[in-house]
Amino acid sequence: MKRSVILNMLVIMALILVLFLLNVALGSVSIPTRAAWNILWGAADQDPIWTNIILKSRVPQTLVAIVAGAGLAISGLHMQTVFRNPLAGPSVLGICSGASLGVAFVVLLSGSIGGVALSRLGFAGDIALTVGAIAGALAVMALIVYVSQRVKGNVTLLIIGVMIGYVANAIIGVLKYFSVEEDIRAYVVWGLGSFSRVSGNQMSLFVTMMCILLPLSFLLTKTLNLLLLGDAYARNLGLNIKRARLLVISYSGILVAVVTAYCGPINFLGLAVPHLCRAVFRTSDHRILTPACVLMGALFALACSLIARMPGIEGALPVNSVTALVGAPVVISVLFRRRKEDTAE
Amino acid sequence: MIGAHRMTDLVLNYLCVMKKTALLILVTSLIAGGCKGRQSGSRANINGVADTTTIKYAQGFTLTYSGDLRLIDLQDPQKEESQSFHYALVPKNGTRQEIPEGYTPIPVPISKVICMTSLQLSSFIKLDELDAVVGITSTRHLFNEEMNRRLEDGRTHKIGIEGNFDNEVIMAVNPDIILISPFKRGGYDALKNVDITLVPHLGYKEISPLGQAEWIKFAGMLLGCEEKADSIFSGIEQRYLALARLTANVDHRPVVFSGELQGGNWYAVGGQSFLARIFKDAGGDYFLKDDPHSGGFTMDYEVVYSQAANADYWRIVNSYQGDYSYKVLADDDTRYTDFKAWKEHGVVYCNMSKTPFYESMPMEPELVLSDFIKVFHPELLPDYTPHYYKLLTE
Repeated sequence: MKRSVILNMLVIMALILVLFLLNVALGSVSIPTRAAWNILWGAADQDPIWTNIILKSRVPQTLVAIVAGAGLAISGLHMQTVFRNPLAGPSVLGICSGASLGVAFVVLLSGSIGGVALSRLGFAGDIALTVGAIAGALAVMALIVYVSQRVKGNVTLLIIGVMIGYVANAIIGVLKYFSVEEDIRAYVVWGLGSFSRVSGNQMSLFVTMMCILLPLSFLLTKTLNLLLLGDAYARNLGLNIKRARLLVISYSGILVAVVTAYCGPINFLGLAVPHLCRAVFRTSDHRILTPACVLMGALFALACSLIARMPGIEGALPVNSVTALVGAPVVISVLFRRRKEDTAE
Repeated sequence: MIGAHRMTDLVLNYLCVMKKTALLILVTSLIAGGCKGRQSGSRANINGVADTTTIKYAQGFTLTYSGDLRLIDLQDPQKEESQSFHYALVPKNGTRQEIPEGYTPIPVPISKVICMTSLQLSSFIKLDELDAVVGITSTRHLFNEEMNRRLEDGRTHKIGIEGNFDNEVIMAVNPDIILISPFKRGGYDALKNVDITLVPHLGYKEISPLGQAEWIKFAGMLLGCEEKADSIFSGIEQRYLALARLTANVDHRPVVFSGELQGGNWYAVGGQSFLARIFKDAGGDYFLKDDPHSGGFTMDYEVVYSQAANADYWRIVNSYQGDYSYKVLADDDTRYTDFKAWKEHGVVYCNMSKTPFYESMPMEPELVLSDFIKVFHPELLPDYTPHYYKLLTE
């Protein structure tokens, strides 16, 4: 690997560390840095309220941001490669919409058909939402995987994915129409996205799942590099295109499903980070882009999470808005640069 | 601790007031005789003879008498919005009179009204005037049997949800007025074209329980049964004040906080809100009592936790299906178990799907107050059975 690549990776890792510490040290409640540092290293003599805030709220939130950011960035990268479309992202296959639909069913219908309310089954509050989101996302993903085996072109698949998204949104619209205000509010709040709604066992489960899923992405780098060459070349080099596509789509789909279930639909991160990585590392080799996306995604999410919880802001800003506010300029600048390069050629 | 002597005094005092109140209600209801017979034209007050209604607590409306007319000015009780609304209640059988500029005339008594919220409906329920309600929006968590019967046999119509009304249904029932909540989300523009008077009902923004209950007078004036409304309200007022006096000098004021995490944020109401007021009158302290806001805002978990970790009580309202318990809370978010109110079982809970929370509570603030007194200072109301809020035991 080139030295500049390693250097860049190290810089990003250092930044992740810095942002991790900042995320733990800064928040709406001001805790002295020294106390925060001591609590992080397990000092038992600190104020129990501060200890709880740091260990049970800020650290989990930061870990969630790291793995969620990495997961979304990876799935965005995969989608952009599979569909050879710079505007593809995790939400493009309708998987996010599927998760939203699942949540909409839980939140908006639970009142009208009490018999199937998830809270009856022992799931309360946000856990019910998580279950709903996973069910919805996986259902749509199964559909997409099935379709991907039937249709040939990538564009067709892309369009079908977008169509599924429209259908899901239409159903959500109908559900919203018939729901009362408090339920709609709960749904809207979920849709804003947040790294901070997961805690305790849920958080451990989520982080563990992501820690298993994320390394698997390295197994796909070769396949992705071949796909980048175009279907004809890839086939000549011995790649089973259908199987490769199935593999990549299901892997990314599961990543998005899990992240969306726990953090809500976070749109921009997955689209923007791969572009950012390509611009920084000046390569389209997935052996470099995969680790780069993991790191950059984590960094990006940490930065957004920090901005969202800046001291002085009452409550926490919705992560989705922050990612878009930070992400949009990035995508725009990348597109502008590409345009410039195109005209220069 | 309150001395035994003082205790007896208080209780006696309370009982005495209660007795008086009961007598007063009996007498006034005999006088008023309900407004069922309003078509008979027996109500003197509509003809401008009696102008006794005064508004004491509500910040959202003022009343001026001008000959036969009642001039009603509505404004935001929390003074956040500068927009105000002006209506002139014109008696149908009174003499014709010049209506002041800027006032929209409403011929009273009205006989058909559409309610957009349960709070508006609560006045009509309390007044026992559901015959006048020809349309409502949400029917979820609607407990009132009479209203449900009316919906079933079609005497009252569902007109869709706020923001998405079925204009044809509204035109078909042809109400005299529609009560709306103007500062919520829109959807009223379409209604304006239907040419039915829209009257904002700002009771939901009142910051005191008595202020909110006083809106029953507003409904009373529209329906032409002011005296009944006045007497119901004065009953509420006296019982409420008597209860508030009970707790005025308690030695220990437990600290209460309220709400739950929703999507990572905690929606809390300010220190000058309706809820903070109820807690204060019940002999407790709201955890944000020094906060200047009267409305609600979202807070970060850590801010709530840092301020409420050692609070004694935790008020929760939701519509959980099943039996709510400390275990459900802990399963929902393990961080909840760090609160003292969780550890020492101090959750005060109301389940909206099992109690008529929205449709009855606004007009029964004295019961809500009693519920909280029962929790905060059980010795003050030893034989009382809670109506809405109960201390969650397991």
